[in-house]
Amino acid sequence: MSLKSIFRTVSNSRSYLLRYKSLGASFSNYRSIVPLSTNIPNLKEEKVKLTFVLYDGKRIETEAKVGDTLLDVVVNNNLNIEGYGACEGTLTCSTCHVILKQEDFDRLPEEASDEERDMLDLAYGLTDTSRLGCQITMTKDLDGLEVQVPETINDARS
Amino acid sequence: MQKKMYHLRQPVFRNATAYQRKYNVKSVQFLSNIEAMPHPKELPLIGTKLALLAKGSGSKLHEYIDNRHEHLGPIFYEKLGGNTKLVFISDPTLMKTLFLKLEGKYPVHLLPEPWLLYERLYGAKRGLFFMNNEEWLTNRRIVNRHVLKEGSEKWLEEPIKQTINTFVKKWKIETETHGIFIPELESDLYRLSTDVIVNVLLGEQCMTPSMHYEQLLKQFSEAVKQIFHTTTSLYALPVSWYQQLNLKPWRDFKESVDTSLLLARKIVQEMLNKKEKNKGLIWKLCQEQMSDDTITRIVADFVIAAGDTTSYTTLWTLLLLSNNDEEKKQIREREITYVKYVVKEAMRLYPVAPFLTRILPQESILGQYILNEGTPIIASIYTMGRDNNNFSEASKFMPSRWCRNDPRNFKLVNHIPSASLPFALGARSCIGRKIAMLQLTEIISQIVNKFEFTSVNCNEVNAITSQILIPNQEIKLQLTLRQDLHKNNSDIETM
Repeated sequence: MSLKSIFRTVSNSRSYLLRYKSLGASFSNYRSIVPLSTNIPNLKEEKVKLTFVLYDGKRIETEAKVGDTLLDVVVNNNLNIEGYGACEGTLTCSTCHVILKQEDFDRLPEEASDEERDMLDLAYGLTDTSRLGCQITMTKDLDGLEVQVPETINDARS
Repeated sequence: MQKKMYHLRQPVFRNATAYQRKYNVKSVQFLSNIEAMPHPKELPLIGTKLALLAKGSGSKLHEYIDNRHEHLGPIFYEKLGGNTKLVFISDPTLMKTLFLKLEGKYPVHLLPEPWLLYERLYGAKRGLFFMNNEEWLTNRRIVNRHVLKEGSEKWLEEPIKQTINTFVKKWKIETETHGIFIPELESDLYRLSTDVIVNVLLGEQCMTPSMHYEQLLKQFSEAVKQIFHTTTSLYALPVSWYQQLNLKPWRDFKESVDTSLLLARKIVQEMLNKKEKNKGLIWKLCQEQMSDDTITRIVADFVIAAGDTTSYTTLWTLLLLSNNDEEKKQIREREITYVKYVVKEAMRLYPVAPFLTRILPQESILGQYILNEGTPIIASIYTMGRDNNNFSEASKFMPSRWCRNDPRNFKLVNHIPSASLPFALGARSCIGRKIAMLQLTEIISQIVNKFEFTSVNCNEVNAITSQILIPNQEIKLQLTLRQDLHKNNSDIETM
């Protein structure tokens, strides 16, 4: 399984690099990380809808496998969200910060752990309904979830 | 004069406009290059090294830089005797920019010069700390999965707790026989940290205790301690001079590194031979198809890196608690989460790594400055954690400031959690963070719950930089078994 995911990452990052080669220079200051997937395979291949709304209003609608975290979804679907998930889900950064609607926030099965809250403290534009994408696992119940990706450190410059 | 100034400004300005387009920066007129950055006055040729030496051969480096920040602000450059401009930062926003963005996909840090020279001369292949680029990322990802990812505490807890139980039992027996017990704190804690990491590597079933093994580990932790001592004594002159002249500090340093690496490899080799029986980190890495050679390199560095950092953090925490009955009471009454705040607070005041470093992978903007590719950035962790703008009453040891619901925190105006970064941040942050936190909370909780202890140091204890932040004198703790506990335990034992 691990070998497979390594291969996948390698080929993903290759195609990623090829696709964004021209952007390489202008965005070279940004991380173009393609993190390793953290999903547990062989969960039933059930898919649900998920939408990321970027801070500039751009909407990215995508399908997510049940059991994947939001970070997995971004990685596996090659979603172009700059700088998202720099630490690859090891809870050592806050770059996968998302803001949920109150009702969605309330129905998440698990509250943020202490470790997650420590990292959320670092996030820009923290709100009462903020979570880290690497800690939100998609369930059937969350079908149609819409999350907001706030202005990140990459955009917040003074 | 005016005209000349204009000429100097021109290229920067053109550059800046390009940046404005590229990054949508609004306030271009404020961007300037490194020359405009505050910096100390320096004497020609010898730079500011003299001033530093006057402060005590670098052992007061953290105070020296702290002082500089106070006068020059949250960002300045200084050469510190070399030719390179080192950029020092102490502001939480700048830190976040550095660790979450500028450091890039493959963050690179500065390595201690003597270590680099040793590596170059003897070609010793080292672990993650020395790796860069794709090699680093590939291996880091694999190790991340087992020691940092969510859920890894499940398997880590067992070996860590077991080791600490054994350790505390040893102290208990000493106190029971002697009444008052003054441990050899530094060595004992050092050994504990080594044991913890060894048992993490081996998993629950630890190596069978034997004289041979005992000797090996003892020699090893002594040798590693020597590396840090000897590295520090190499800082007065350029390292290559010591080496070329084969002066004693270099010979001592070389010998300690030789011995440590040799012993570390021997220990790892023995563990590899027994890997089938144990389900520790070594076994897990083998399952990931990591080669024995790579495992040896990575794991040997783990054993070296885990020793001094956690043991001195334990030491600092115990020192802070030693004459603070109120905090000890809190620990005894409250849940284990409170111990976490205690450890966090100790690390804010005494971060064992007072400086963290990154090298800019490309031209970047940090604050209002455009910096060249390759610029070394030094994050002044010590200064940032002790800044009153970041933490109200910053010099006071107040674990409760980390408790989110503590009503006492209302009177603390400033509390910026990201201003305390003992483990750094982001992709290249401390890989042992989880192991360290588990170990630290467990050992502090057990010691406080089982013993009364006071410090018997007469003089005020200060911090010095000796690679890491350590006390300037031997810490002496006087331990007695807690009375109420004493009774309870003998009851249990007779039952």
